[in-house]
Amino acid sequence: MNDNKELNDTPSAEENEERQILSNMRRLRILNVWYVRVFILILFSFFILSLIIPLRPKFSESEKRELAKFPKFTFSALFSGDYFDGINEWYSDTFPLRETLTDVNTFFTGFYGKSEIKIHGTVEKGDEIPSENTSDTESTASNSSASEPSSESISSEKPVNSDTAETSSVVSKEEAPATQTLGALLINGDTAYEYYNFVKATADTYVSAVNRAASLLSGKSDVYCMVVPTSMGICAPDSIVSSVNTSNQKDAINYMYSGMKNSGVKTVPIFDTLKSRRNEYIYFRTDHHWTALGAYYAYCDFIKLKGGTPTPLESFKLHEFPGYLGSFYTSSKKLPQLASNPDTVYAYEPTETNSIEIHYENGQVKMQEIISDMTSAAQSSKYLTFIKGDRPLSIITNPVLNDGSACVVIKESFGNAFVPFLVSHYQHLYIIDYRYFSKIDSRGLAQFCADTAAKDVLFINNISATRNKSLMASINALIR
Amino acid sequence: MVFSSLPFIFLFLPLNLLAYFFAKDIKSKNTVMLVFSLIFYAWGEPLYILLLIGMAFIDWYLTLIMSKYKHSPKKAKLILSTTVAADLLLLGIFKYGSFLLSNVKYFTGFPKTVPEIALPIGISFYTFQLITYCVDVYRDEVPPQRSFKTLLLYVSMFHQCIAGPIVRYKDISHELTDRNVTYTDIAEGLNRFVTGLAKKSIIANSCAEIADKLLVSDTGDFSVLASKSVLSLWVGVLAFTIQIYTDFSAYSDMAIGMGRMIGIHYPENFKYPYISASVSEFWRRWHITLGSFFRDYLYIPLGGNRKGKARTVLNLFVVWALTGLWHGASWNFVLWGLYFFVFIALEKLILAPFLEKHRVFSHIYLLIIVFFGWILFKFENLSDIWCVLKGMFGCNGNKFSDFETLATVKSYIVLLTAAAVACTPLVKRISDKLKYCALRSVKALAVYSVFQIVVPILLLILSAAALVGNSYNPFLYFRF
Repeated sequence: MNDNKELNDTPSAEENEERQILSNMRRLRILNVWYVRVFILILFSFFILSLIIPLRPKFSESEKRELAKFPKFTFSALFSGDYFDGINEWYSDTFPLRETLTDVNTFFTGFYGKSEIKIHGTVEKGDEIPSENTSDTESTASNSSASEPSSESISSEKPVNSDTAETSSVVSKEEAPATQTLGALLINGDTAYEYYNFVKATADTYVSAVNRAASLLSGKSDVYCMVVPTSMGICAPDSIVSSVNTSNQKDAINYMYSGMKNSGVKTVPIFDTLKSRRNEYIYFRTDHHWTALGAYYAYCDFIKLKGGTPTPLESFKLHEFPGYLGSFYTSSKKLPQLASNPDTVYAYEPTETNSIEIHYENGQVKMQEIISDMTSAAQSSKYLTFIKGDRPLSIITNPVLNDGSACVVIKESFGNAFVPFLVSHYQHLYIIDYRYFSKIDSRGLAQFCADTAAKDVLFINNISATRNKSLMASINALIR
Repeated sequence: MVFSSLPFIFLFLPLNLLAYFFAKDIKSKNTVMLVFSLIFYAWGEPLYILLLIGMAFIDWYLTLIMSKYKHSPKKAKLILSTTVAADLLLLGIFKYGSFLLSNVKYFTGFPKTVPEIALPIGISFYTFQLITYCVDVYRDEVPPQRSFKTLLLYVSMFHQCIAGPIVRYKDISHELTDRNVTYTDIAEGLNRFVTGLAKKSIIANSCAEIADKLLVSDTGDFSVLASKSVLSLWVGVLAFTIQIYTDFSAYSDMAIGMGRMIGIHYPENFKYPYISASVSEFWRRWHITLGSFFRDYLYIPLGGNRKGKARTVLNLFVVWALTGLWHGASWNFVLWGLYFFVFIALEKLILAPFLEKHRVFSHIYLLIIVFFGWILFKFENLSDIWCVLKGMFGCNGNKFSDFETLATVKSYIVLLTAAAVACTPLVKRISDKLKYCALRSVKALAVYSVFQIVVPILLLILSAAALVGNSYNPFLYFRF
């Protein structure tokens, strides 16, 4: 206004600019006031949200695990800092809107991860696979106990300690994550494969455990062993597999089988069967398991080896659960390229019965369905249609048979899709998940087979488990 | 607790701000900050908090006594020496005790067992801060602090106590007792904080993931280094180069930002070090408060460059060996420091004029030196360092590249590029330019306003999303 007096009409450009700057600075100051208010409002919304305890999830459906719990107070934990670390973990792990926020993150990171082929996790190099397992050919109980002193000590403790709490806690601590944590993944378009690195020491533990089972049950039961390859070994395109740092699964299985050949174990050679059917839908794309169809082909090999006739696939009742996004999807933090083509879980219900007696970890026993309806289940949990997932002990009784035949199946989750096919062949099926069995039952395998008069014992284990130290320690602990 | 964690952002910080702004006068505001700082420290180190308080007390008390002997310099000097010696002795015991004894054991075989002393987090930072206090009072650059509470607040202030910057007492002494904040201060503090948060939780953590994939994770099996392809090692070290800058500078950003929010101005700690044109310049831009500490409290007292060339070189040697050692009680850090000593000495004696003239060359020269320097920093073991160096030049018998390397590089190339840009002043220049325009035109102001409100909030939410369910959030400075 003062300028006008001096300059008659229009102020100079410089003055104009100066005035503009001054007025814009004032506006910026007002802007800052609002910015601070909005920011603080958002910050405090999160703050209040995080205080609403009921909003906190306890279980992650997509990661299939219990989320961290609020730590128990002890003075030692307080002084060591573990107590506060525990609170931090609880606070972060169970943050309200957890799934929404992880989805936001995946969406955002999708902007810079454009490549079709991705590697998730750290690829570990496998051990050299010897052409033949010579060291263990005469493996017996005494031999294996020498080579596996640590796991033997677990199992020898057990009979003394009738309460299983101690031994199970030793195993369960390590095994709990092992059930869901996958190794490195190779993701090619809409399909993921898990890397497999041969680990000689744990493969040897497995071989000696199975051999020991054969020698313990010698003359009483036949021991069968089926090592299931994973999709990396069967379905992954040759052009990729040849340049990828993954161990040869056929060689690894041959190595393990060759170590069992002199101890009377009947090994089921399913690798070539599956390989010849690699173009069929025998493995999931978004999950590390095989499909029931893959399991069916393996079942046929098993029954033929036993000298029986497999039941035709058509005679089972087919169920179909589309929209499955399994462990590869969740452990790759929900890669959108995997979600673009979800899997369908096909399940084959046996005609004889659909009832199964499940023994839960907490000691409860309930009658459930062998194949349960998963139509409305979460997209990440449809594989649980098979025998209600991984339970310490499950028993199926075939009402049609009355010959007293019994089979004990020692498995982890790959066995779930397999077991329903066996129903027509045995009056009694005992399905042991070796990872959890010791939590509810203190018996070793020998005692269990004696009690159930099982003539057949089938080890059905996926190759990925045979490189896992804690899993092999718990299977080893069962064989006594 | 670290800044880049959900409990800090959405619990600790909101509570702290709430209490702070509801506190009426400066005295109660300082009480709030002190209580929160002590809780923050105790949250991570429930026992060592006593060490922190104890050291602050010793320094406070002795310095007060020292200030009474202003007129007898000998006595003052004696008290100062005692104080500093006590500080260094405690630092030596807690940080270097185990290292020292294990070296003694290596040469003499004694003692039989080396006690494992857990490193109190942040001890290197707060010890140095205390030393600046005592020395500056001795030098009469600042009056002694009569209130123990205020001195303890200075040392323990959670903004900078565990990861820097190393704030000198004299730089903030007046703000400790007299400060005020405007909305603009808070706005700029929030901006700075959220920039750091995003830098850490989005960029640095992703780069850490890449580096771990291409090199080896800290908990992994280091023998895989020998099997890594040439490209894998180069890109891996590059990712680490970006990670360590974005990570470390992000902590300083967050500290400086939180300081601004309450009206305290901490010194800048990083000024885009990777755009330097000489090693000397790099160290004037990298961890500035550490470099200047060693300059003002060691190099210059030793005589600096005023006592002839030979003495200068010796002084540099001492300073750089100690600078290296400050980063961790391990020989590789000493090596890393001396590596810089060699180049700084060379530059001072010969290279400087040449580098001045050839700017392009000097930038490349600096980047190469820093790049290889990080190998010494990352790997503690000399054999691993050697293995990586050999592998980078194809001497480990591996291919130039392999499937995993290419897949990883491809899927992260966008992120790596963005991260590399984040190491340059580009973004800051653009935002400064925008602000410059915003002051001069109403339209630009409108654009700027939207950015100013939307971007920080978006960054806050994206950072939270990146932190939820992401276990990968390393704290690199636990060894400092």
